[in-house]
Amino acid sequence: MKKRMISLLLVGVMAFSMAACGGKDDGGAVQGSTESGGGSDAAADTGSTGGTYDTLVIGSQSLEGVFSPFFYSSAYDSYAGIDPVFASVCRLDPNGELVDEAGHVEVEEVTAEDGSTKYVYTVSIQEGMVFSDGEPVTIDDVMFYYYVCADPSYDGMSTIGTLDIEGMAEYKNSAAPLWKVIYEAGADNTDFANWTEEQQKAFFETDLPAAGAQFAQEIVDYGVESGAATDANDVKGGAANWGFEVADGATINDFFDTMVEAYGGDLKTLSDTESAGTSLFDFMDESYKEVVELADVDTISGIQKVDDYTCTVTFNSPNISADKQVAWVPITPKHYYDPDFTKGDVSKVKAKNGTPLGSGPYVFQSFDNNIVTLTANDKYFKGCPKIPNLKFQVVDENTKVDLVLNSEVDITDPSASLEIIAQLDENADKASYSLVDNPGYGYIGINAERVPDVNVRKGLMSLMNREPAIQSYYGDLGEVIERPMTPTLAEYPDDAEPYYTYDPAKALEYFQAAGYEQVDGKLVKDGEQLVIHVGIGEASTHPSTPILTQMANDMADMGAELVVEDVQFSVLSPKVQGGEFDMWVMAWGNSTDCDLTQIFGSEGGSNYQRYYDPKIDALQAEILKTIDFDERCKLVAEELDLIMEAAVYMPIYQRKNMEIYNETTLNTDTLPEETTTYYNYTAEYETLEMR
Amino acid sequence: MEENKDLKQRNQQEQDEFEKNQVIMTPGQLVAKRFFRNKLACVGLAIIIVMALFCIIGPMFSPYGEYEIFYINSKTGEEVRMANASGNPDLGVNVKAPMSSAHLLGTDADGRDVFTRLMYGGRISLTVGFVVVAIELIIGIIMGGIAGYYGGKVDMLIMRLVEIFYSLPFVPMMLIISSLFVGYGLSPRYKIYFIMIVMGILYWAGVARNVRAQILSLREMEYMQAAEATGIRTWRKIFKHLIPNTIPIIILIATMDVGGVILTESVLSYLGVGIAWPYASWGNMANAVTDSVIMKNYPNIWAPPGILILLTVLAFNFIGDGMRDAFDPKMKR
Amino acid sequence: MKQYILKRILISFLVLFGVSILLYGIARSVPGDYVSNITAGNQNITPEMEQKMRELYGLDKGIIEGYISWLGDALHGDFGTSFKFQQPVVEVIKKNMAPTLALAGISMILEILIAIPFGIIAARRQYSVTDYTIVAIALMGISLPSFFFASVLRSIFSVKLGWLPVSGMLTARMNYQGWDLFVDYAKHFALPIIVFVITGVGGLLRYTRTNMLEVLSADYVRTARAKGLPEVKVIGKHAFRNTLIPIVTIVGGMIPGLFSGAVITEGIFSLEGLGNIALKAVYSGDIPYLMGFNMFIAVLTLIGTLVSDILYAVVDPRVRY
Repeated sequence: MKKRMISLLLVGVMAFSMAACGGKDDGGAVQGSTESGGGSDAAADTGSTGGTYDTLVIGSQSLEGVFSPFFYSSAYDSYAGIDPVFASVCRLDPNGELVDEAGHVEVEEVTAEDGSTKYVYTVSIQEGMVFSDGEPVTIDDVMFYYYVCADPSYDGMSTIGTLDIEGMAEYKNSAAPLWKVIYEAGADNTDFANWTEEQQKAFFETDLPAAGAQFAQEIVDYGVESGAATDANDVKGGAANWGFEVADGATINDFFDTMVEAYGGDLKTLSDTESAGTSLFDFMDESYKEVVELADVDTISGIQKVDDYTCTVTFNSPNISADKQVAWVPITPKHYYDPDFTKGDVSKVKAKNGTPLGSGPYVFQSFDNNIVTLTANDKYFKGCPKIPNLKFQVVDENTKVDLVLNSEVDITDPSASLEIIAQLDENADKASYSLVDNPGYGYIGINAERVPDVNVRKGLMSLMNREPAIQSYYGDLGEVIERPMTPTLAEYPDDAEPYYTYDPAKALEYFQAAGYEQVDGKLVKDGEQLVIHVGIGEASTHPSTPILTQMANDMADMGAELVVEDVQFSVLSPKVQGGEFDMWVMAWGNSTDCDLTQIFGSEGGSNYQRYYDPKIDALQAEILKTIDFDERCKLVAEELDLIMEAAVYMPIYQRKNMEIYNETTLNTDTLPEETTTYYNYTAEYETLEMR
Repeated sequence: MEENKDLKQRNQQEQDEFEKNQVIMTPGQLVAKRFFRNKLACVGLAIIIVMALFCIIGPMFSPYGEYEIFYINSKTGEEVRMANASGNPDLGVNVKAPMSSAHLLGTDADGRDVFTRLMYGGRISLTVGFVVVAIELIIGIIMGGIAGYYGGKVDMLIMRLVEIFYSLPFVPMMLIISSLFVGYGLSPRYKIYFIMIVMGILYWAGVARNVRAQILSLREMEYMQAAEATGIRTWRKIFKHLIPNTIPIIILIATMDVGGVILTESVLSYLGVGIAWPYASWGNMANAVTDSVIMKNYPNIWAPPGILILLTVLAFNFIGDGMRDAFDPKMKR
Repeated sequence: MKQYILKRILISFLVLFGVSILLYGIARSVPGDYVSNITAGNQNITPEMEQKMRELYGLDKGIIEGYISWLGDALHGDFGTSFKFQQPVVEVIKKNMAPTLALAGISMILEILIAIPFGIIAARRQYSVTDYTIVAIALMGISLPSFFFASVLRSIFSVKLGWLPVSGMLTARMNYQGWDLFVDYAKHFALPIIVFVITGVGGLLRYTRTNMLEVLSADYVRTARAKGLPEVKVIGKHAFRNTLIPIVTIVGGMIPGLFSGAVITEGIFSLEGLGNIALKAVYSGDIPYLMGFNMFIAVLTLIGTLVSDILYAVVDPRVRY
């Protein structure tokens, strides 16, 4: 898996006279300005004359400048302004296992008073660490991170708030709009602490029925317009048009009640899903939207401080990734971000989005001119890094290799291609590289609701000629995979056989089995031609493009049609999520465990193929609880086979990620021994050295 | 004697020239004469004719399809066409093939014949140029004509509209609108037509402004007062007497803009919102230049579309310049 | 005169209003919003989280409601918070204005400095080899897409010859100060400016040439020549001054083109200017920034036309107020 070339030809004299660490923070010209008469080229020149470098330059994709561990949304912001600045409790080792960093985590099963099993994670951190501003690190700073991410007003990407931690639901849901709290309290409620009896009465007797009637009427009116209902009083017709059945002569309120029943009383979802234009709550008085604080739940009962360096997090249910969720987190200084943090207000934390401060190897200085500047942290708990300055410069994807060869950048990550490797091999004295498997995979998905017939789906899959496309695009840098899961995960069944191979004749058989016939050169069923809409992002540079080209051609030969919609990624993903394509080409990234419930579970938020199978759900639940590795592998293989049999996900490729290192400026001997999918130089900033 | 002879000869020559000049030329012929005197303009015209032939007739002789991909058997080195593809594991897509007699300009990064795509791409690029200009002219002439003729409130209203369209930043606008198309389920095959319409709509303001200015000055001329006196209908006045006199400027704008639109289309392709895949245009083919690997190693992929764009737009510019000089009677010669 | 200017300014506000309605309406109609973009590909995000985020970003409001609240804030100078940068839009624009203005401003000055003299020379020798050469070269510049030019030039001057940096705004490795810093900036901006000038100078040059031709055949120039004035004086004093008026007025109209060009050139050279950010904002659905940027350009454009209209009115007495 790992292939790294370290050139034997060392240019220049090895000189490790790194400047001392302390006292550099006030910035200013370190050495550049004194020898820079010739401008930027000076950098390249000094290399061959044996000068020393004191700045590591990393080429990054575009940065948004949100260097906050709470609110960043781009991975590159994280690499540049967050990872080097913050130390984390635990991190991943080269094999993707959680290991201690600045702290430690342990799990314990305990039986609660009510007899249920709880899972208590004990998170501890080293004593004696300080942040770069000199303040001591305590467990409060870790708990601060949990609390900000779990805050009701938090809008970042952390999923801590969704975990099944004891007391989390109460903490998050203690505030709700007035309509909701009244509605949920019910008409017989007698506690009028938060609203008056009159309000409650008015809500149940007049306001809600009135709004409901207007809401339902809008649906019926829509039916009238589209011809499904004869007039505004034809409630039955209007409801049927919307997929609801009501009795003859039902009133508009009956229709609304039917809907409420269908949604089990969940008015919000009802309104979001069924609205014919106006939200249910827009038919109510504005005052119902006001937020009411129900009770003073200021703490999450499952998160408890033990001492200054230890806390516990209690989970209600088992979760194979819970340790990562609670311990693979940055230590964020509460005294800096918001010493008086109170529930419901993350604005002070947000105000520090551009200026991170932590206890990591480097200290953030500035983000100007598209360059992030960091200086070594002499208070870092593993010792001061040897390279005094670290900079991240935004570079264009297409210039990454040239930048390294011109010595403008020391480390960067171009998307790997055969030509780039050839170019680097030619310049082995200037650059070396590493290739690791990307923790994700490319696939073609089929929407099972839009293409309900499994035989049609199988037919489509038999038309995907994957090998030539991947072979010519990636060569050795990618491989065709046979199951929809990244092979970087240990549970991937390595011996999996192809499920559907390219075979147009077989595809036609499948289509015929589905009831399609070739009539007048057209593949039709019940008079309708087989037309498949497929969405792809930026087809002109996509590895899967030739698959679609071939497919479109073969389908045209059969008398069917493949409509390829080439769109920007920003358009593709919402359309896929909205289920507007029959078929689509996308990729998953950053998989860290074999929990596939989000993608293939019936309740999964990313189940865009809309294929729901209780058998898969059951297997997934089983997998999450199965600690034994071999047993788990078997179950995963079984689950993946079920998915393949359903023909909703065609796995295409597993590709490699590339990192290139500048041999002229960077002492590549100091790079980590092992660079893997989960582990690279960023985990060992403190030991890196320049030439 | 000698002198006398010389003088006679010269007289004769003058006489001949005078007779020659006796030929009475229509204004159109005058314009044509002046136009063809401009060498650059002639070159431009020739280029356009050649390009048009290449793109219109060329594809009829091409053995390959616009988006046909080619496979190559890695063992035998034999090329396989798309129609004969099989599941043979030795097959790979024949990407970035060198120039050969089978592929005059090699194949591109997806394994498609560059030369064939150039011909199809030219069709699209030229069509886009002409259609967009036609649309902008139609809207621009009508709006400009009305504004210029009526003046007052109508003029005020239309000119404000012109300013609004002038102030819309074109590139971000096109990017947003293009994602609208996709969002609302427009078939990729028809996307190009909608792009042309939108470009036309975004571009009409310039035409309207020029036409209006021209009409404003024409309106004050004596012949218009005469037309007024005969009491003919308004639309007749606008479209029979005013608009025809703005034709020189309209033709001028048209030729200049065709080139500009071809360029704009290529920029849109560069931004990923131009012609939908898999169809070719010179713009999306020239896009390959931004891929550093192709830029360095495969000039046969990126250079030809660039050169064709350059030649075509240049030609339209030359013609436009020639036209302007030719139309302007104040010019020397 | 005062009244005329006042009226024009009032009208400009009206136009701005129209522009903002159009822009907002179109930007909001785009399918797929910021939230679905940042959450796409993340397996852990639940639909409830997405909905929640949408509410927090104000994306759950309707278009009209959204526009009204946007307009209300904008009138107070508050253009909202950029989704992507998590900072007020005004701040983002202020912070990233410098590279764009430098690029556009310097290019514009260079274009004027090149276009006018060469335009005059070409006009003076109409149909000569000099004329053809100048016109052909100038037109070539405006006959290639800027991304194409940029890529080719970079490949030659940066990658092959190594004379200029490949991209970026500064040499990250160095901590330049003072003069060296300026030189470093200059080196990084050289190529983008060259691209700008080459792809922009043709139009202005052609305009200068045409105007000069017109002026040269005017009666007063003939009179000046007949008077026996030296050619230098004829051109410099009589002809040139009269071509200046239309040229001054066209320069105002170049502004939107420069900013549209910035969207592409900045992206290619990784300059973090307004245009480059706008491009990313489109791709990710950062509506507040897009609105701010587009309105910024619209204002600049309107100021440009306003100034040139007023200038025209000042220099040309025939224009009615």
